Amino acid sequence: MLKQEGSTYGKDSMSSKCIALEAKSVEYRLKEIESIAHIGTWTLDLQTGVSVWSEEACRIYGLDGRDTIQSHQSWLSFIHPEDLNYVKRVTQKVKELHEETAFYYRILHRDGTLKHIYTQTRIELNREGLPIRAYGVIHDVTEQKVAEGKRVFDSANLTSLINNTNDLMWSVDTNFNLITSNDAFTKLVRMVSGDPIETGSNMLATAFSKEKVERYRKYYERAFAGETFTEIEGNETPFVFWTETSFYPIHENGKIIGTACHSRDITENKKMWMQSARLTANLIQQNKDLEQFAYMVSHNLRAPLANIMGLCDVLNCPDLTEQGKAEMLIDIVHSSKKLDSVVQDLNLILQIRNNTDGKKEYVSFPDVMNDIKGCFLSKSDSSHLSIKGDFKEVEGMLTIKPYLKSVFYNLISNSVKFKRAGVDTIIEVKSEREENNIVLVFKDNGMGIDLEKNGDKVFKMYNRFHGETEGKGMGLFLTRQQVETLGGKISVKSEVNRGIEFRIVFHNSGLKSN
Amino acid sequence: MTFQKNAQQYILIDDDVLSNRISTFIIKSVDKGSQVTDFTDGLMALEYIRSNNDKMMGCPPTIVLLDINMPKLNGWDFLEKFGMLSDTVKSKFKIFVSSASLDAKDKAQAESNTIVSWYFVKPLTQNMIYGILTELSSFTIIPALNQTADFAEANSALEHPKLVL
Repeated sequence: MLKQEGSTYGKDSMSSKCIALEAKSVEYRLKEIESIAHIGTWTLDLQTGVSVWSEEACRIYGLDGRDTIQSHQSWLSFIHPEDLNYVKRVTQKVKELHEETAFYYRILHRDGTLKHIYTQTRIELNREGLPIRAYGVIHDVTEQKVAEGKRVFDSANLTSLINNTNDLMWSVDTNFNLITSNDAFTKLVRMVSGDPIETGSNMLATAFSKEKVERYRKYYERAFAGETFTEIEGNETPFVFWTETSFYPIHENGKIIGTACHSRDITENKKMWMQSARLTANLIQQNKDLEQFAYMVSHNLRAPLANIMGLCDVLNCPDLTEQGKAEMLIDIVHSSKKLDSVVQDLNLILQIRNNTDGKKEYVSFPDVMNDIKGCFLSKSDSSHLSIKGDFKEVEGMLTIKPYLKSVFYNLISNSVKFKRAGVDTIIEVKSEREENNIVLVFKDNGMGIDLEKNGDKVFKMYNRFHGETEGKGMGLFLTRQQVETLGGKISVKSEVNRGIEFRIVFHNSGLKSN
Repeated sequence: MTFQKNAQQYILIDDDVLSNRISTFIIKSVDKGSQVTDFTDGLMALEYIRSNNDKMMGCPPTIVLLDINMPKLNGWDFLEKFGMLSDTVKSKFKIFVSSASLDAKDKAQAESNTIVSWYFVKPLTQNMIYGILTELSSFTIIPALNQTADFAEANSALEHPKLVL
């Protein structure tokens, strides 16, 4: 631009005054440009040591714009002490090698603030090839340096954050190769495979189970197709834990080049959630039980009472014979007894339910079994009955003895009662260990029940399934109450004429065999 | 039991034998010429209905007193099976559901069932029989009863709020 303007004025053969004016204006604009760009210029006479700085150069150093005459020494006085030796070394080298050089240094501005300067320096030689002058530009790069420093700091912070979290973070390119990962991820992979994973490793070739690798391949593909999503899953290896994993496609120039993945351990949340779900289910079940209980109470208490009331009505009828009257009185007595027995049952149930802090003692299964067996095998019709116990896996447990005995009695009695005609009854009782749980299994080869039809009623009060056999539908109800009071759960498996199997699971019951 | 064509028919379905005996006595004390057939099992009652309904042509509807709480086939199960019979058969029966329990749910369930005429809480009383007969006579003439002195008593019984349910 300068050149062009110069030539234009030359052609018009302007007066030297005009040219001088024009030159001044060019100089003025140059200054403006310097000031806008924070760029200053300087020259240094190597013979005299006198240095001339541009106005902007002066301002960068915090000097008045008119202090343009400086020296090499005055320049050095601005340099940050820590950079002084370095700067001296570089300038010495410039003088010796006559090379164009660029370097950064820090100065202390007149107001005391620190500034970052970038300088480019050249050496002018005389005809003999000796250096006579140095000149160059200086650029105030404080803002850029500060911003860069912040970036470095932020990035270091970020890296430390990413590596100090237990969350797993990694990214995968569209060839399923690892782009980058944090320490937690690397650690997990090392735990599974024994080898550290490196950038570029194929994620489909890791030591995770085939099923898991395949599952993740599908997740990655979904992300590569542009979907951002979160998956919650349970893992068995290297230990049982729950994770919430999110996938975020990585876009570059409008294309998806991979996916960033973030996985969080939500085992604790999941545990709490599952616990509360279990509690809720328990509460709902208890509520239902209570409703059923109230219904049965209302019916079973009211039924004999209604009969007594009816009988009293009948007794008031004038056309009742003496014999009829006597019969009615007997019926009233029977009904009263029935009413009383229901009240007794209720009392028993309430006692069981309330006895959660009953005295616990170590109870041996074979001992209980022998006691109960005696009750049944001593009867005259016991020749077609065999009761077997197998308690090798667990020999006993800490429990409320009378309840456990009652459970054994009721279940075995149930099997004895509902035997199949013409078939020798075989009753098997077995203890099992299942992780932290003790399991008791009662199995027979009797009539069984149709669970499809009656499944929900088996353990309910006053429910009966075999009209032809005696019983009032209390045995299994009481058994369930007792099992639950002992901290267990009872379930049933059966098919008509295929026998019945009751399974009692006591959770987390101290598995000491003695 | 032989079917007596001219008598008002009653069918009792209740597994409680004593309850059936009391109900029979109460019914007979009000409705003297009636015939009461009782069942402790709903399936047998259904069988009886299937095989005897043709004999009931021209007779006043048979009164069925059905208990809810029974083992095997309970009152609701019975109603379900009964509901599958033809309309002609069904029209020959009036079903009254009874329960010893004071459970409001039973009452609500019975009242929402269109096959059920009324729901009542046991024990069955003479007043209830009067009420039932009066209800029936409002759409059918019951010749046997129209003439009896008991009928006046039946009407007075109705001055109680309907069956005190």
